[in-house]
Amino acid sequence: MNNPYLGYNPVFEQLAETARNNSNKLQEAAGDIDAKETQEYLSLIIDTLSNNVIKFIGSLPYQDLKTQIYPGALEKYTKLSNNASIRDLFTNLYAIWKDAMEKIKASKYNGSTDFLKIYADANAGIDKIMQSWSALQTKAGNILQDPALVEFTNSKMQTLVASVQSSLDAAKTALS
Amino acid sequence: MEDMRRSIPSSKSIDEDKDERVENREERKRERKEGRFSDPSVSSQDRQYGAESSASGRFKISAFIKALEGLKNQIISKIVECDTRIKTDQTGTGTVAQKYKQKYLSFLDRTASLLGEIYSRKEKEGRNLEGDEDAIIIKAFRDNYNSILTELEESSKSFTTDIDTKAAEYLKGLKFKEITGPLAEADKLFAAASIKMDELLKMISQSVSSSGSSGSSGTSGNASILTDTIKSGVSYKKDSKEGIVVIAVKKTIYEKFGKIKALSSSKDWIAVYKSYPNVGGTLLENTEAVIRAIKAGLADDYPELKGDTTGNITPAFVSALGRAKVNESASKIPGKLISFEDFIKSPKLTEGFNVDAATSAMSGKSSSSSSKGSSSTKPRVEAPQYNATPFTTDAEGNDFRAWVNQKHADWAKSNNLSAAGPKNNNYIRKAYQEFGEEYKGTKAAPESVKTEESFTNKQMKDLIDKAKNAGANCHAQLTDNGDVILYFHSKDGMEYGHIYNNMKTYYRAESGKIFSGKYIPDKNMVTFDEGNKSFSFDSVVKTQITNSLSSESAENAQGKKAYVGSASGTKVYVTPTYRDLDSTTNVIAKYDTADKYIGLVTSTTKRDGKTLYKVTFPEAIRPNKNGSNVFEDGWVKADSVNLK
Repeated sequence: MNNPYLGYNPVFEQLAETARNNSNKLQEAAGDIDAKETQEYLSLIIDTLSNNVIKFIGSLPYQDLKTQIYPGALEKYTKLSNNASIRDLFTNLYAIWKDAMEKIKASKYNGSTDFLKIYADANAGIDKIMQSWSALQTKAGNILQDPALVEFTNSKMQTLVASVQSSLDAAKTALS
Repeated sequence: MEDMRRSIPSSKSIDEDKDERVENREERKRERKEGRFSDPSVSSQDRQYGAESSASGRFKISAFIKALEGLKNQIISKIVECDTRIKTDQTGTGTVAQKYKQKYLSFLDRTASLLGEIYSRKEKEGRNLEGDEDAIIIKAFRDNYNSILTELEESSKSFTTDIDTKAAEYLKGLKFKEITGPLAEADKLFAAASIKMDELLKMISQSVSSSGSSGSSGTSGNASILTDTIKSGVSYKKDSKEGIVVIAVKKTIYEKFGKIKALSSSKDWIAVYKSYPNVGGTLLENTEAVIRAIKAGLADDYPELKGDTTGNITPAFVSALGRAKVNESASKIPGKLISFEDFIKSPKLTEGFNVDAATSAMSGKSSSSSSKGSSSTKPRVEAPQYNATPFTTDAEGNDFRAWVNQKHADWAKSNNLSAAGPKNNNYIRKAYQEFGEEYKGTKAAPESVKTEESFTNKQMKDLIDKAKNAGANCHAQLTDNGDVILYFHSKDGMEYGHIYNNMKTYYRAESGKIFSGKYIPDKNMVTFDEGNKSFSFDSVVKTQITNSLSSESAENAQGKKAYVGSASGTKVYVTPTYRDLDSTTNVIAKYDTADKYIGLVTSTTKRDGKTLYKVTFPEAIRPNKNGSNVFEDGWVKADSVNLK
């Protein structure tokens, strides 16, 4: 007991000890992050990952390569708003990127060092985001299983997919 | 005799066929070689992955398309990124994205227009543009491409910096560095990748610029390479200077006159164009006949061709062929340019073409240019229905055309009158009959007409260089007469204008309002009709004059009536407060009918260097019929209205 003005009270001390123990247990389960913060970080990571996957696949400078990769990637991307878990979303989004990278490396442009450097940087960036996702998983633990958060994630992806589709439609109109 | 010729080709025709077959074979061989361009084993040079350069002095359309597609992809992905940031906006980057999205949309618009032009070129011309013959078109393509690329690069850099700054600030405020740390690193990697992407696009652009070096000087038109006559009766090699011109002439004839059945069904025509678009450099019997016919058909409008009954390709013929076109539907507003496609080909080109004379000449009869002397019963495509105009030069005609397009935009649109074209064809005649008197009234001081002078293409090029040196965003464009004119625009493309070779100047404000004026070379100033205001050439081409040009001083503006600008396309937004004009999201009313009365100016203010007017409406406005908001007055941008 730190307060010098209070005498020793065994009941109070027991209660204080119980509170400390429970607090440690909570800390173990979810670090010191709460559900609201988890959602904020998660949202940020999803935005960054989704934006850059779509951006770098979409900005492939060689039309034949883009034709080979982009439509398939986009089709998979549009189906990402109905995930059973948040982990599924990350797995699928990352798979889209990795698949694109495989195709880039296997393409006839693999001799273009400048071109490959761009995608090596982008790939390193995507890997960094995945690292951030891993850190959040460690920190938030079971919070990420919360159905409300899964629903939030799906709804977020729905917004992102709709935004990409409407942008592409607008671009198509401008080009027609 | 004609029937016999059709069934038993002459020996010359057979030679011509053979030559063309050989050339076609060579062409296919070259195509196959080009197909290997993308093979990495050919070279490790990165630029080869973007666009091949040409040793033959040709501008390779496919290379240019590749470069444009890369540019387009980059722009679209930026727009997608902007939209997503606007929608999510967690890091506060939405407002930044909103600012840049408009720029990217304007880049996309310009790229789309270039793509449209180059694809239609490809369809008609095949793989290449010829360095000498199409020099000015090549230059315009390159200038447009480089201008978009440079602006995109600048925007991308500042966009990335602005976004990174905002995102970094946001990440700094978050406490779990083990999560935000990798995200910050990722942002840096993405920024580095974006910069490298811009560099790659620039490299592709350099590759495009280096192809066809002979066309880079730029200001020579079709006729400029033709100082001597190309004699008929010779089979010129396809790659020779003469051969290139012969091929270009054949193609141009096909595109412009191919719709005239009387010509295209003739045996000579069929012989020349049976493998179109593959045509050779032969200038033998069939081609001679076709050229004779075209000369005869054009002689009414181009008297310099009268009496020329040969199949020779003369400078006068090339010049007439180049000018003999009227793309009347291209221009919707003064200063708007025809597309390159229209520059080369228009279905209305033949409006003044004398079919009788042409068919007579083709069949070896009298090649008189007069239709009266013809034995054919086929009528001319269009007989003149209106009196001739008084204009003695194309520049005068263009002035009138531009005036009609500005003053009577709807009429010009519905009657297909372009802002530039021949001085005396049926379209302009009809317009003159309609508005000639009114136009004369506006030209009360005829001095300017009398002293009308025109810059040569060389002088226009100097003027464009001068604008570039002043730091303007500008490049050369073409009118349908093949004249070079100066096109300038603001960085975001929202304000732009043209200076024609007759010094006439058009300036379009962001609102769509158009101001016309004249460049005075001696003073290096542009004087505008509205308010007789003058500005330095530099400030005009750098689009720094909108506010001064469009606004009245506070004391002059008050008490005047505000109308929608008279140019078609002008939009006026009316908002309850002047601050709302920044985004035009809170709009009471929107007007786009030219010259519509809005209200009386009761006060003025300035915001971010722009003048704004407060107007009292003739009748209160209730934006929402069922709503309770009623407005007696509102604010408009000065550059969107006319004060009277």
